[in-house]
Amino acid sequence: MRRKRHLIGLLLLAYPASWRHEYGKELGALLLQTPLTPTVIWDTVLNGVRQQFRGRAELGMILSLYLLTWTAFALNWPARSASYQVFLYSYYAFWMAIHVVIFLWGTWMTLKQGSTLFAVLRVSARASFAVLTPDLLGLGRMWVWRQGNSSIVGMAGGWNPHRLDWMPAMLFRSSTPPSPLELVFGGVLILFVKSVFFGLLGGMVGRVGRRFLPRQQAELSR
Amino acid sequence: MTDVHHFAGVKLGPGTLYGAITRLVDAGWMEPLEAAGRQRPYRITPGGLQHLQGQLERMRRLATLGLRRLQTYA
Repeated sequence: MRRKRHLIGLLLLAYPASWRHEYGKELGALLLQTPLTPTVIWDTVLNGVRQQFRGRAELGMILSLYLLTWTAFALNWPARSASYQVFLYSYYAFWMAIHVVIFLWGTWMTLKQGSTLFAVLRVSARASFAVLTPDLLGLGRMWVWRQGNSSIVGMAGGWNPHRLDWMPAMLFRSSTPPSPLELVFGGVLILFVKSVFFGLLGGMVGRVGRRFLPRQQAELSR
Repeated sequence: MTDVHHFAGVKLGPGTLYGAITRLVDAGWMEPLEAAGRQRPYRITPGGLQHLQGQLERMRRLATLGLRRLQTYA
């Protein structure tokens, strides 16, 4: 029974904290009465992930449409043209904006809320998964590259030096496009590492900034 | 979960059940009552009743039409 309670506690971690606060006890009690078969465990974890993404559907849809539009244009755009760079920069502007938000978020947490760097790390890691859904379209785009049936296939084959895609290039140093598995693993890993990096960087800036806050204000924001 | 299994023949997992409860509460079609121990009962709201009635009416119309059309094949 003790082991079961421990496992239920772990399963509930799949849900957002606010959701656990509202329904966690009830679901925990229900799970305690239910045999924990693989189907029940899968059902509980899957719905936890769904709850994590609930309420972010509109944001996800906007980001997905943005990437879809970008992909649709990029597929028919000559890679060698200078105007192609405009599309490339617009795509990277999107990711840079996400990293700026994560950076500012980290700064805010340590500066105004007095959060620890570990709390910032957890939030940044979660943020990286929250933005993962629209990026699946990005993986779809790379799959088209692999088929060798688009105007940008030259870029995928040679990792064009004009591209800002230096991180995937470092990971997959090869003259051939990466396999789907490498793309998924690399994409998730890069997103995770970058998000945590920018979050922690923001958190450290916030901690330094806290020293310049008047003492009373720093105490109040703790 | 047992009730749903009996009347609908569908096995509902605890996660799916609480996913549905969350959506129904958020939509204002169900509301939680005072907790009894670790379990909390829920009740349907007037808005939920109206919505359910509308859905059941729609299903009845669909079933009636379907059965009538099936008779032409019999």
